[in-house]
Order: sequence, then structure tokens, then C-alpha cells
Amino acid sequence: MTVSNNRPVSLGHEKPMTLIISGNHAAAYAAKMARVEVVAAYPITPSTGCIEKVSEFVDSGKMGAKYIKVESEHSAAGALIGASATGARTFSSTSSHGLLYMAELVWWAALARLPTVMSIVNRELAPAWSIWAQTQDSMGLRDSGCIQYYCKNVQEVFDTVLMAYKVGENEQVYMPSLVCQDAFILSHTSAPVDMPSQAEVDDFLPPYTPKHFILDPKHPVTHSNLSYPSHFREKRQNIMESTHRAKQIIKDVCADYKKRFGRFHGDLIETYGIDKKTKHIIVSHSSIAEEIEVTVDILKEKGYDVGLLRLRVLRPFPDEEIREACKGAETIHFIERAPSYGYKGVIAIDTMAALYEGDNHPKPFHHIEGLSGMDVTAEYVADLIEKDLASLKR
Amino acid sequence: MVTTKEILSSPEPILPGHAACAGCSSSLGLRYALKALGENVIMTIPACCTSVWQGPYPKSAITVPVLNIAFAAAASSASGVSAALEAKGKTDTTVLAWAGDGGSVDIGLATISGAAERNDNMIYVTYSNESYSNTGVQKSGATPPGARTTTTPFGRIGSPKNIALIMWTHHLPYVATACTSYPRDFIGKLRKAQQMKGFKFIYLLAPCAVGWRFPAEKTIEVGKLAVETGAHILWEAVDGDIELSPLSKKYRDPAKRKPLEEYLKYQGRYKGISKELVEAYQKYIDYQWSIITSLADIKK
Repeated sequence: MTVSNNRPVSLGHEKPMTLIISGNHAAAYAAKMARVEVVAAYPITPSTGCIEKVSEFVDSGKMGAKYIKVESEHSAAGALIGASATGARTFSSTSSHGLLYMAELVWWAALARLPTVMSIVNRELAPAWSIWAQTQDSMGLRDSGCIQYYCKNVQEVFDTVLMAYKVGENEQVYMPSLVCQDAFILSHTSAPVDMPSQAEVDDFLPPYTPKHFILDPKHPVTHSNLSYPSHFREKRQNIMESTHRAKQIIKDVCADYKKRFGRFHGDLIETYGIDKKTKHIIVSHSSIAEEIEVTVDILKEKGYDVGLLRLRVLRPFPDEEIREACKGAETIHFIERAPSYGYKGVIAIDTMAALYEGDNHPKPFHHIEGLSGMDVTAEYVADLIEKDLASLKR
Repeated sequence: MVTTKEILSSPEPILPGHAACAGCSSSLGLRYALKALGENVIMTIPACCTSVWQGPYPKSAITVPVLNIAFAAAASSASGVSAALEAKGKTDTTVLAWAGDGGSVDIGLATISGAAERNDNMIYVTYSNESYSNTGVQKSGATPPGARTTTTPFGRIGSPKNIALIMWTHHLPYVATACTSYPRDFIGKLRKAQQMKGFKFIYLLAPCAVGWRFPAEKTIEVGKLAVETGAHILWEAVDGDIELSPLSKKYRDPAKRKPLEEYLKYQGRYKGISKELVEAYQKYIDYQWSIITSLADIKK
């Protein structure tokens, strides 16, 4: 198949620069610099800022994408599927109910092996109405096959959108990605973001040239017609293997990104203050994890042997990496936003299952914190950990 | 207008061995559609009879590229295909969204409406067997008054949505109705639509032998009777101006229409249906004629 050399324009990035922008705008800048060809999106608080910025880029001629202003999130995902299946690099952004409304087609994109990238602003689900941070919206799609990144700051959002294309479009992977950031805490908070030049991004991220399939009248294929169980199993097995392979691809891409641009946010996980003997490990995610870096400093100051494991990628799940980081741990403390009603926190469930397959089984402590964007401070978490540890002595 | 000879001698776009029921008119309809549009076509197909009769992986009876997609997403995925083609400068490819009546008038209505309002470049064909035939013939928003389905066992009460008129209100470059019993009319309409840019909509009546309970060999005859009794009105609107198609023109005069009974007598779905419901159907038909003929008098 041929892909046009006329890539969409992306103006205004001739040199590397630093801009003070929100998480929403960081995702929009990254989509522009990725030379996305088709955008389809629908407004929802708090991800609207991203698509507004994309609209501004497109309508001012700075971004050469076709922007389909769809009538629902379901249609946003439908359009991304159609465009991606026709060989285009695609982008959208949504949040909360928007993501759930498109859920059917998020699964479809994944099972059709279409490497679209979406900027997800993690927001609570109603009822009652809440527009603030919580990660159940995307974590509820944990099993869809989508690669899921949870960013801790605005810079990481920008960098991860670019890396997500590189990972998802790798022919060893071919899966869509959700690049997640916390509502308001990142989506609406401006911070300095370093950006490479367009030429450097182009060199890092070449055009999308799908090798698995493309809708092309010169080479007609029927995609996703009825499959009997033996073929079906083979397709799903391929997805299982590809998503497992994605772990190494993510590591390679993050290492490459670090080499090129000097920035590294961890790959599958990021650790802070952990060595192989660390006794007490806090496991967290998203922007809370950045706050907990301060918690670790506070507790170390007080003499605790404590460290932080930030889950940066929820799927594929970094089980080996977690076992390695928790080798010497006696206790493990989950600080997470997303509960699985009727059981425990989503991250705790997966992490404990990973540890069960290893030799060391630290005692778990569970904390669901920061629901509806409630502030989780470093001191508050330090207090929780101290109480956890004090309870052991009783 | 296309000749019968041309239809018969053009390459067959639907391969033998597909899985459609005997007497299926949706497979006939797609055969005509692809004969009309040629080989440079990309299709999207949501859940519908065609998603089954195209045949199971790793084979396919359809010779143009097909993206099978979820029930409500025929139009939205076609919008994506269309945008990607535009992004890549491949503007000579025709995008064909091919959906059943349930996927169009019910679950997909918002999606079609959105694509139409944006005037996204595609031809959208609703092939209507007036029910959810694929799932075993349940009532859809296109089921006519009195018709028996598995969810209206004593006959459908109420009136169907007129999806073609709903689409007409979207200010589209082209809207038309057609019937699989009249391939020359249908092909002519498709070719007209293909020459236009933007969202083109065709409502194709596709009689269903299984769902309507008539003998498989009567498919063409039943479709003709739908037009001859006035139950299905053939019209088109170029840039909004509604005009009766030549085949339906003479039925503007109710006296020239065959009695509705002629159409219903072949259909098991109307067997034993109350007189009141059949009268309701006749009233519905007469009202549709009033609407269409009145609208046909309005010119831009």
C-alpha cells in the first residue's frame, strides 16, 4: 500500500521550545506534532480544552488534520476506526461518561488492531454529578486490549502521546492507546512543557504505514466478518501475544525517547527511593504518585525504609517489574483512586496477583483516596503509612 | 438510464456461495449497488443481514473492501474512511455505508443524522426489510402498521418513521427511495448520487421472504406490488427538490393503485391481522402520499 508523502502540516515548531500549558493543551500540541491525519471528537468537561486547542490549530491552518466534529463520543470512536482502517494516524480526546459512551467502539478499535491514540482526562462517573478526578472511567476498560498510560504531570502527557503512537504503530503491537491524566489537577493546570523541534519529532515518529491491513479498493479485504471459534481463538491469541510484546516495545521506545530528548518518566513503572531491599513500598498512580514522592522524602527523613512504585502502564501489566521492585518488601501500601466495588482497588487487585506469582508476599494495606479529585497531600499519605506500620506493632 | 443488458453483462461484485437466505433481496440490492458504483468503493457494514450473508472468515462474498462495524456505527465509521481518503488525496474512491433498517432508523439514527448534518462524503443506503430480520424478525422503527413480527405477534400498532423524509430535512445534496424490484431505477439513483459530493441517502425497500413470510420466488413480485399499491413511494430529491420517480408518478392518483390487499395477500405477516390494523396501514399510506406530493410542490 502507498502512503502519501504529503504529510499534514504542523507549523510553529521549527525549534525546540518551552511553553507553559495545561495537560489538555499538552496532548493537543503532541497530536499536532505527531502529524495526526484525522481527528474526531466531542466535547465533555474536562477534556474539552484539548479538542478546542486542536480546533484552533486546524482552523488556523497550523495543523493539517481533517477534524470531524462528531455528534457523540460513540461516533468519535467510530470515525477513528474508519480512518485508522483506511491508514490514517488518528486522535481524539474524551473523559468519563464520554469514554463510557464510546466504550463499545474502544473495544472494537482494540480488537480490530487499530493504533489510534486518545487523550483521556480521568473524571468521576455519575451519579452524583462530579467533574473531578478519578480513574474508574479508563480503568473500567482495562481488559479491552488498549494500552493504558497514567501520567503524573503535564510534561509526561506531552511526551507520552508521542511515545504512544510509536508503540501502538509498531507492527509487533498494533493496538490503540489511552494516555490518561487526572481531571483539573493536570488537565487544567499549566506547567512548563519542553518540546522538541518538529524535525526531531518527525525523525522519532515516521508516518503510519500499516502492514496488517488497510481498506484499499486495489487490494480488497473484508475486515471482521463472522469468524468461527478456531479462527477467532487465533485472533485473540495474537492480541494476547502482541499486548505482552508491547511491554518490551514500551521499554525500548521510552529508552529511545530518553536518548533523543533527555526525558524519562519511567517505562512500565517508575520507582522513587526504592532499592531491592526497601521494606515498605507505596504503590500509586497518576498525579497522586508525584505528590507521594514528597511523602517518601518525609518518611525517609523520619527513618522509615520506604519507597514509591508508580504504575505508569496498567495494560500491559508490569508484573515482573513489580515483583523485582518488591523483592525485599515487607509491606505494600496501595494509594489509589479507583475502587472495584465489591472488592478492592483496581491496582491492588492486579498488583497482588502479580506478587502471588513471586516468592515474596508483602503484607498489603489498602487505601482508596482522592475520590472526586479530593486533595491527597504528601503529609496525609505519610500519616496513613505511619498508621499502617504502627498497626503491625500492636 | 442503465440498460438491463448492461446490468447483466457487468462484472459480478457478489461472489457465489454467499450465505443469504433463498429469495433474499438485500443481496440482490448490494449486487446492483456495486454494479452501479464500480470497483473503487470502500464499504462499511454494521450489524445487519449483510454482516452474516457476506460469509464467514477467511472468505468473503463481497469483492470491494469492507469494514464490518458495530450496530450504530455505519455512518460514523464511513465518515472516518471518507476523512482519511481526503487526508490522503484519494478522492476518487466512493464510500458506501450499507445498513439495515434497524441500524438506520433506530440504533444508528443519531449517527446518520450527525454524518448528514456534517455533509460527510458518502452514499448511505438503508436496505429495509422493515424489521430486525437478522435476529429473527422483531419489530423495528420501520415496521409498517399491522405487520406481525416476533415482538408484535398480533400486528404492529402505530406508524413507522419515514427515514427518507427525516434525512431530507437535513438539507442533503441527494435523497431517494428505491426498491430492489426495480434495479434500473436504483442503479440510476446510485450513479446520480455518486457524481455528487457530500452525504447522499437512499432508502431501499428490500422485501424479506423469511420475515414477511412469502415464498422465496415471489421476492420481485412482492417488491413490485409494494410500489403498484402505493405502499412504497419512489421519489428523489436533488438538492432538496422532491420529485416522484417515473415508476411511482401514476400512482399519485389513488384510483390507479392496485388494492393494498394485492400486496398483503402474499405476506404471512399480515395473515389474520385485524381489519382495523390493515385500515390503519391504508390510512398511513394515503397520508404518506399527501406529504410527499405536497412537499413535491415546494421548490427551492
